[in-house]
Amino acid sequence: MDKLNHPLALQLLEGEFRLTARPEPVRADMRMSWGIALVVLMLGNLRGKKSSLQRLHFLAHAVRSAGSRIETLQVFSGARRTADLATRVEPWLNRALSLAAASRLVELPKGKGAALTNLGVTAYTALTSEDSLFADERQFLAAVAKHASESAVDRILRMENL
Amino acid sequence: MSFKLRHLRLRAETLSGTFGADIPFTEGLNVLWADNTMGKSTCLQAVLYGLGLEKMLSNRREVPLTFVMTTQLDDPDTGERHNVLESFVSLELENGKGTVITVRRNVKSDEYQKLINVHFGPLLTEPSEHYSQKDYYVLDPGSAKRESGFYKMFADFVGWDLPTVKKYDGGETMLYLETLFPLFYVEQKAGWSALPALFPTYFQIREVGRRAVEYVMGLDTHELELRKQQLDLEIQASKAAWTAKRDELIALGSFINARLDGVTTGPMLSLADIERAMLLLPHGDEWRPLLQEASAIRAEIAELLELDVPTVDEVAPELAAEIDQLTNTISALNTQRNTLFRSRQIELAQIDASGARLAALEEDLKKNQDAQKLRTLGSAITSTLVLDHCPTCDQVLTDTLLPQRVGVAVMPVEENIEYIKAQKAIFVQVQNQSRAFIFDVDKRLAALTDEVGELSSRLRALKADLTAPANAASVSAIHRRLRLENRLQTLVDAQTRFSEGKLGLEVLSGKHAVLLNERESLPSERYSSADREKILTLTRLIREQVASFGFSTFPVDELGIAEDSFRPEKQGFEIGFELSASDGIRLKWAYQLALLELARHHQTNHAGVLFFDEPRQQETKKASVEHLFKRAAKAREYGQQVIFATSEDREQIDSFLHGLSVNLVAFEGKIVKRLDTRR
Repeated sequence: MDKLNHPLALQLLEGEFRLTARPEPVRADMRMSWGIALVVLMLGNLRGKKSSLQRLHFLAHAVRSAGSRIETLQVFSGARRTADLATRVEPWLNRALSLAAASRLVELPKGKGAALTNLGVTAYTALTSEDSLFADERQFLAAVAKHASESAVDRILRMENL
Repeated sequence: MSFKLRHLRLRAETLSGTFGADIPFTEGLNVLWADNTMGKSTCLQAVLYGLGLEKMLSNRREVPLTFVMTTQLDDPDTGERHNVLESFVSLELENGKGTVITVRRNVKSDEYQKLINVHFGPLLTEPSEHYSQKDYYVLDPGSAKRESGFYKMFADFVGWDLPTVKKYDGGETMLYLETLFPLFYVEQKAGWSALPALFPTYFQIREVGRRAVEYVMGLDTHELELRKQQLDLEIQASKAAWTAKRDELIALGSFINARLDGVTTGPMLSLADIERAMLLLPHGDEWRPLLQEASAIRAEIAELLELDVPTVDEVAPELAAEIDQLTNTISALNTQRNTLFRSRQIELAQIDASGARLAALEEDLKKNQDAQKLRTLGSAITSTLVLDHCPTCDQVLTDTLLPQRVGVAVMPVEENIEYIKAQKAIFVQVQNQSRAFIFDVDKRLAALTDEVGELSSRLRALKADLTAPANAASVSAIHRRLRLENRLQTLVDAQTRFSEGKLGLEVLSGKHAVLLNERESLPSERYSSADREKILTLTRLIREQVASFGFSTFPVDELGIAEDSFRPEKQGFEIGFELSASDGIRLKWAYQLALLELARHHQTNHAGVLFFDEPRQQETKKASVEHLFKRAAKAREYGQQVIFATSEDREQIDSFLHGLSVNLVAFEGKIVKRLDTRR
């Protein structure tokens, strides 16, 4: 009990007391700016600068790690079966799309697909003007965009042969 | 350490004849006067071009001359336009020792533009066929360093020994002539916009302006900096030599399954510590010094020598017991090997796991750095990608695509990057520890395998004894003695080589100490007292001049020179927008002239020549210009040269120059004129 009467302890006990949460680290692909930029990059690489939501989910999942990037390219080149590719529908992509739409970077016509606006195309140009930015992701998207037609992605998700 | 321009010649061949200009220059002040667009700047740019220094102005590979020299010109007399078929620029130069050379560079020609032809004599003012000549090349790699490079020849001619400086990427390069010339040559357009000068940045030289001014002022700090850089290199080399020697000793140890102890990865300065270094051999679960092991074996051998080699009959009773014991020992050793092998496998898995984690961290780090870069794309785009508030309802958003939770703070990207780097460091550390452990285990495994091998061969010898005739000498006893002697010989050899290696380490340690000592004894003050004297003089000269030119933005005695950038400052603060345009020009005149004047009383590396292309007199008052000419005219007393090109009102110029000793070269009409007519 003596220790509780120590001046320092008293000072601490009587002082104002507040708890503050320490900031939590977040994985970079869960960052708002990273996700929105990825949406712009994906759409910018696709024909007509637009896509169905299904295809965006497929690409967003494929692009995120070195392993899944290689697997996806192998599926398109025929070195791997479509059934080997697991695609997940991620809620973060929906949030990124909503925010991108709110920022006027994309339009979501009837909620079925997404398309870049003029502002979105400007952002895409800015993102691709610096070589080091999103280097791996851009290289993958450029390689995969010409194969990943809506129908091809549809077949992959149904695990049919390409 | 200087040069002067004696004569400038321009020539352009057309179908209707030769056009050109010849301009003589003298010591002291030279004023080249002509109306606007009559070719003054062409003349001054021709000087740069003739010296191959056009890249001082920009990195573009184009001839910095007007169309008069490159494509077509108008005949000033008839007004006809002619195509330029061939053209060249020629300069006659004299250095501080009185040696004269004449350089010639083609502008429009079938021949190579990157060649400069040099005659070793005054070819323009005293033509002769007896001067020797040689071609040098410019612009190409090596033209500043090789014997056949023009910049090397020109630097030698002026007396410059151009120093080596650090680049942004950590490499080294030369302080190129193009980085010095902006201090001697103020170009008409951009040249007036920067103080001390507009330095080319594409050489990627760190603090290029500061290095150039330091060199031109001949500051000791430059020498000091070079010595420091040199020492750093030598110290690095010394560390590398130490590491190589240490690796050698580790390899020597591996040969006898020993571990090196007491030698750090970097050079050790204490000889006593080096003396204490040793090789350790595995001994059961412990490690023991090589010397100790050797003397134990030696004692064992001595003991055996005391006895005669026993016969089989004598040892028979003990044989069975020893075979039993050996079999047990061998199986115990094998169990130990298994255990060690298993823990080795576990460590390997640990290395794999931390490798995978490191790869994931590396990927996350890259993405984080991308997220960070998104903030610098330009405000218009960045504001659509990096959202602090919801664009629709303006609520505060945390920077995450996970569900927004109240009261949860998300780490800012910069902190997150640091956080990942810290994690990476930990995993690298874990990996290194695992590697070190495996290295150790491998040594122990090898030692155990050796031991099992030896015991097995002894077991065979014992079994051979069991079946041998009773009066034969015991094979197992002989075998044991031989084995011990062999091992001892190997250890003694290794120890001898190890001692030699330690001597090598001691030599390296001594050299390293000398280097460290020299670096320690370099003065910590950046500037020597001679340097301070020069900087003070420069400041005084600048103040003196701006005062006479009518500088009025702030009191002249508040003007100083920043010691880290050599830019003018006001009471310690860099001068920015508060300077009026005319005072900016006055300060520029004063600075460039002061560098020239400094060379009169101090040892510097100034070229002794100063070019002003159109000194912007319109932007200042007449009184200022008058003082500028007066001040510049003093160059003659010191054998220096100042060249102004101007199109100021002719009467004004005459009144300014009245009573001054000046070489006025005035042109009515175009400077480049018809010289002869082709028939």
